[in-house]
Amino acid sequence: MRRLRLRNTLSPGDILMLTAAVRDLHHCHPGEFETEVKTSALDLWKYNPYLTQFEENDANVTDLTCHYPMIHRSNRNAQHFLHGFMEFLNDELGTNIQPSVFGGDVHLSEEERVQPSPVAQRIGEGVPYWIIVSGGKYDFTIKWWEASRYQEVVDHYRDRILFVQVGSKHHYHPPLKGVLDLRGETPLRELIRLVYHSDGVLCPVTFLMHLAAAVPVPPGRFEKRPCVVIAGGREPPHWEAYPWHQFIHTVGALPCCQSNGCWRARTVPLGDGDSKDDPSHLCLDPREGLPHCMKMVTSDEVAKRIHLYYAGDVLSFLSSAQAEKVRPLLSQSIREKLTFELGLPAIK
Amino acid sequence: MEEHPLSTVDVRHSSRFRPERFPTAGQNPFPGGSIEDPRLQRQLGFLNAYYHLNCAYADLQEHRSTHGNGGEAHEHALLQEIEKALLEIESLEAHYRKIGMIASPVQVDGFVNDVEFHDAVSVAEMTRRSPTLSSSGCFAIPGLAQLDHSGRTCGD
Repeated sequence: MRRLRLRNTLSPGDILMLTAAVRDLHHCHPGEFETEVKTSALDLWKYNPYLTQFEENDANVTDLTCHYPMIHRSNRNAQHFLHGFMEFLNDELGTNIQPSVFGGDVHLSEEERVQPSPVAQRIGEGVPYWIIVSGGKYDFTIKWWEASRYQEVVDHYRDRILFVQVGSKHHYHPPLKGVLDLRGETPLRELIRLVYHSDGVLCPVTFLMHLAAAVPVPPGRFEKRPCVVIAGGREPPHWEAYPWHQFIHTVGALPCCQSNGCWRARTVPLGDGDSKDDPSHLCLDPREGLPHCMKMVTSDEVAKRIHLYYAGDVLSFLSSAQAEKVRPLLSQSIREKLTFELGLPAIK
Repeated sequence: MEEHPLSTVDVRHSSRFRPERFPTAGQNPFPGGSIEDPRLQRQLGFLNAYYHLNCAYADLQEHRSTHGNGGEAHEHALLQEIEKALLEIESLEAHYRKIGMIASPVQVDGFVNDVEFHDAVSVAEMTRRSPTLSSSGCFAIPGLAQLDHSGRTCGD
């Protein structure tokens, strides 16, 4: 039995892809390996059945810092992000790992599964909801879509879909109104539980889209969780997209991403000392603060993609009783708060 | 980037300035004197706008307490002042969104007493103080230079 200690300190989305590689290492080579992980986002590995803990000084352990150099061929090769760590391990270990499932590998305890969702805990009963991510980290601002457009989507589905806004308080997540605002309130295990109970996820290309595909769905639902991803032209779609997601991209439609994802990092420089302010990492075609590729994605288009899941009877809208129950918990803008406090239908 | 016009003025220099209506910034008094740092100028823009909102709200409250439901024309004018301040805030939000600046008002009894600011620089400072806060600092992959020149990760 070979002993592996796998290391990686990249972002949670990357670690999620490593969970898939570990699952499929054991799936394709049963009984041949023992695995330990030393990574960031360790909560992603909780309840993972493929892990062992070795003595720190165990001389029989092979220590591997894991990479996914395949990403540098992602514009040419028809392979998914999932294949990245698998190829690396195959090269390092002489194995033949292939994906057995289209997604990462996240496990929930029985207690986590039966606990009411974080939304039900706040509302007092279970209601269907989508998770919404209105921004992202400051290192890859090119992935951000316009907050006012997210707002238009939320407004479009007012009283029909409950959106639950999430995001780290250390990242950029502009507040939305008419949502259940859980920004800064969802540590990773809580976020996993939130995803588990969710009907769908609306986000840019980010950890949440991979989590939406990796977290199992509760019994009695369709096998795959709906997700609408606002992607633009940074990544080649085949590298990121899952077949049952609505992945809205513009690759092929613009000179800057005509045949490839551009893989740029920022829309405009932020002056925070990060090397991604360098012109070589900046968007080639910014339009009024948005990458042109993201500006081409309209709120109507996003709303339509969400609606597909309802038109196809995969999901059902909130009942009017549920919408009424949810309404007092929805976030308000300062304009709405003042309008309410001043006792007027609208200040204008 | 070009600053918003409200970020280039300081309401505290007005002869009719009402200091009790000027919010704090992140629970600290905002620095006085000439503001040269662009980040502080942007914060000042929001504080100016929320100051306008607070003054208009206070004027409306005072009018209502003295006139009850009377004086409709004056009430309408005061509401217009509130609307003007709200439009200023919304315009600032739209202007600075592209650089990821968020100004979150802390409202008590209708007044904005404090504004919390959040931007790339404040996050970078937080991350430097507590590096475990973000896993996204890892952009370059060791050894990658031998494989490729772009240092690419998904960053997801």
